[in-house]
Amino acid sequence: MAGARARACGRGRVGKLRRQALEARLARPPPPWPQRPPGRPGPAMIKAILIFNNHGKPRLSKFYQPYSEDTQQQIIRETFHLVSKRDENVCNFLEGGLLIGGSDNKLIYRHYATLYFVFCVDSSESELGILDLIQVFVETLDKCFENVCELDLIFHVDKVHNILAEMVMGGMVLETNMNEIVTQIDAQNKLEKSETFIFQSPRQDR
Amino acid sequence: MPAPIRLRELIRTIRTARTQAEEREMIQKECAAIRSSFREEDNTYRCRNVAKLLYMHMLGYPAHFGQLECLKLIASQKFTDKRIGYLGAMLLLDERQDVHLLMTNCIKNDLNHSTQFVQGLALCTLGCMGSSEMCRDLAGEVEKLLKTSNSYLRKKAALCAVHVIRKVPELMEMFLPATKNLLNEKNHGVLHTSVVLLTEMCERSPDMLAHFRKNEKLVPQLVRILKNLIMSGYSPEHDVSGISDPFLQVRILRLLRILGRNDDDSSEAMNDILAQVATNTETSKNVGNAILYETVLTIMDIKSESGLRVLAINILGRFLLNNDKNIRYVALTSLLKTVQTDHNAVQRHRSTIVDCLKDLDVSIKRRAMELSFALVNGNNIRGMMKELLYFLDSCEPEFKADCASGIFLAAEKYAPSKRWHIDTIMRVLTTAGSYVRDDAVPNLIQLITNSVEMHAYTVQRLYKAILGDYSQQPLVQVAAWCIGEYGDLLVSGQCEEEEPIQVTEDEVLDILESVLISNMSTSVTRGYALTAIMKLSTRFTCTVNRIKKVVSIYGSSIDVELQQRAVEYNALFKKYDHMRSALLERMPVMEKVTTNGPSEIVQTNGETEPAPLETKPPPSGPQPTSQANDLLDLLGGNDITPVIPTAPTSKPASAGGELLDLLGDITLTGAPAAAPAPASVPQLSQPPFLLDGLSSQPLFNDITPGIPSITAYNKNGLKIEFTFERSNTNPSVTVITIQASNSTELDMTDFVFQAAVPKTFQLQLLSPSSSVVPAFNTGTITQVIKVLNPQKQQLRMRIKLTYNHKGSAMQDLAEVNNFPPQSWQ
Repeated sequence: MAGARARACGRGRVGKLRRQALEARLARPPPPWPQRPPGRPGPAMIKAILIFNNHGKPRLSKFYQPYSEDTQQQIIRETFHLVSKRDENVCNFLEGGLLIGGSDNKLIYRHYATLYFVFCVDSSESELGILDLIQVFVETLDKCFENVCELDLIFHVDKVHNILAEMVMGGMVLETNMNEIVTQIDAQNKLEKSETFIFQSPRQDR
Repeated sequence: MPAPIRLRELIRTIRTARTQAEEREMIQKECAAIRSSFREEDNTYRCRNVAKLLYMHMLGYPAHFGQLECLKLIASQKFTDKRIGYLGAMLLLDERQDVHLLMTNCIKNDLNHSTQFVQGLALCTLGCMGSSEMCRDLAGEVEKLLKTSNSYLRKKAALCAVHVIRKVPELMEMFLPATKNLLNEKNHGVLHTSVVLLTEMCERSPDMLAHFRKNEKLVPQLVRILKNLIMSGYSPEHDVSGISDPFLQVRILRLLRILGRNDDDSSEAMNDILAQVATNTETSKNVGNAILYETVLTIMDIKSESGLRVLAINILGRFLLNNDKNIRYVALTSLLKTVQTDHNAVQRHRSTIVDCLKDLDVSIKRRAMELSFALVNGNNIRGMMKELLYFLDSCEPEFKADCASGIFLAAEKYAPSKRWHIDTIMRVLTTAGSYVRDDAVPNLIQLITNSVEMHAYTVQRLYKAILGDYSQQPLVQVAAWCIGEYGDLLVSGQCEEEEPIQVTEDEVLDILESVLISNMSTSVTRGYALTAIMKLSTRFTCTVNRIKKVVSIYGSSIDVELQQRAVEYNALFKKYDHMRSALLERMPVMEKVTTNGPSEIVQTNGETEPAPLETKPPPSGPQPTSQANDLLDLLGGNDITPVIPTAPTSKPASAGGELLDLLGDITLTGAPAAAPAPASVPQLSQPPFLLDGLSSQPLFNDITPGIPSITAYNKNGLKIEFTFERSNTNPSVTVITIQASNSTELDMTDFVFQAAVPKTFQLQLLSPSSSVVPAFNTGTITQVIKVLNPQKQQLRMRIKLTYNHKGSAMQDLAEVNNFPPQSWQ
């Protein structure tokens, strides 16, 4: 059944009625996410990666666990509130974000110029390891954008997402070799460019 | 229709918005344009529109109407479309919406695509948001890709497999054959993700763990890889600040930890390499410390040699002295983890740990505080307490409550003398009085009553403490209680411990009256003060008239609680003056009922009855008792129970006026018959008729009385009591009220009580009063079970309890077979 529906979608011919029914369904807020059953401690994983600036404006938000849109925004606000009031000379770890996993989680962050990079991880991740990972992430961005700054992130959010996807997948670290990440990203960008050429599409820039 | 504006232009426009409202307006306008473009099934600009939606989504605007468009983009032939489509699907969709299932087929096709990047996108999306249905459908494809020689796909497939296993654990075996050659891979990305996959499998299933230990010889393989990493010279590809792939090293150390846990052979096989890593790692940079930290955790977790453990603790000791706050933080965290097993080794770093209490960083302070409490023992209690009291004095408000209860606990456990104990608690009350938990007051009062030889000393200290400052409510409450109880000792000035002070009766009354008047006093505190003044009427000789006057003034107080007290006390002066001295006699020494003493009777609201105590006699039917007895009961607690052999636990017949009837109920709710409860009388913070209404409200009006209650469960500080009621109209229904209480020092959260009965019964579980069982018996959860037992068989029940306690999830099963025959016959 699911397969049949998917095939219909694959050819872009979803019946109008069905689509309306689906859209009506989407308009309703999704059902509340059931809490993780109290059983085992969570597996080592990154729950969310957030970038926001010194004023709390989000520049990237990636959640590896399903949250409603409202909750996502609340988490960003809460995290900004927690992180921004800390001095520069204190440690980069913080406990006590209430929304994202409660006491089982930690916020690990680094502050670069105008941007905060925050990784929300569960208690079994290595704090120091994540700090290094943030550094790798930022250095990779720096290589891809050549002297990355906040404006790059504002105008190329999709590219930042693509870079992140080559580094972290499903809340787990995928690749930490900067050169490898940059190579794969470049190859994919080249593939996109060649398509624009073939299809003669008016889009050079989305 | 004109071409929609580009993402870049949209962002530029939005950035010109000066107010939030202006921004919202712009976005709404753009959303309308996007919607109409979607309606027209525009294929050319779909990609651009979805990209704009994703930007708005990040800013917090609703974008769910783009979900179906993402699916269409995924189905497109172009990589550009697919890339945005998959990104949008990951951001806008999750497994809670059925729409995501429409992707399954597209993902399946893309997993078999000829371009590796399309396959990569599909793997990434599946690994991020695949639901269990999707994982079941696509696990075969993932397994195939796990065996490919393409390392770009292989590493993604490995993480995807982890996700599949997390969603559908029974699919784990499917990936077992593919793991065989994973560790022979040269590519570090693949090695890294493979170690993650193996870790997941080992952690999830003991069988897998045994298989990898014994059959696959995983430990030697990992040791070899780790050795190559630390021995190999500089390789520019994997170098991070001079260390070869620290991320991989950390992952391997973590897997070794799981393999070595509780296994002598595996631990033996990794001892050498751990020692090598611990001694050879360069620690001038964060990366080196990350590895060292992981090594220490592994050493502490496996069955390692004692020399190695000492080495590990010393590394942490060195971490504590590090300039980098992050390193100090992880050192404290890991010392906290090991303090139970290697107490003495950690004890050696005590002074450094105590120094961290003075750190400016709250994260470090909190860890240091927790660790300091873990290190307190009988030998160092005096010194440690001095530091912790100093910390309590100077720390941020958010620490005070935890710190205060930590000090109380430690003092109770290791107090070298009673005097020291009383001094310490008083010190806490004076420095952080407003932050202590509610049960501190009754606890301290009990402690003071029980140390008879200290009464004069204590009352004098307390009097001095509140003389200048009566803003700390708990302190004033304890002081008022003690002055009321031991006022005669205070005035007579016979104190051996300290230089006695000369106080007159009027001076004592002055201070109590100023507490009554003060704006800072809470209603509860005033209640304490008024009762204290009343008690002094039998202990003081020449000020009785003054006391009478004060009491009668408060007979018209607007505070209902105070007014009621005053009216009752007034009655005591007039109608029952002959019994006054007997009623107000000194409290007897209390026996400790539970480890937490009188906290059992502390109530946070009037909704629940006090947790019944073990010694509570079975509730008897309504007993007509004389009015005087009600009063006696109220004021005297236990010391006059001989007068009334069976304390009335149910509502007495209202022989007298309404008022006296209410008094009887104070006893009912405030002080369980057999538990002397000095604090309870002044402690009631709500007018008793409120309690009356809620606590003695029966479920049926026609209950048969007299079924004894039972303790159904009592383990790990969690106690569950069953009380029974049966309906006269339908005798086959038994109504069981469960009351769960918690005597430990931490709340139990997410408490769920489930019950099952044999098939011949029917059971209905009503919703519980709360899901949190507060610590220190400061409250209970009540839940009502109705059991229909038409055949009147012996009642049996199986109960299941789940709750979170001290950060870990607890679960327990129990059988209840000791139901009293009256509850089912």
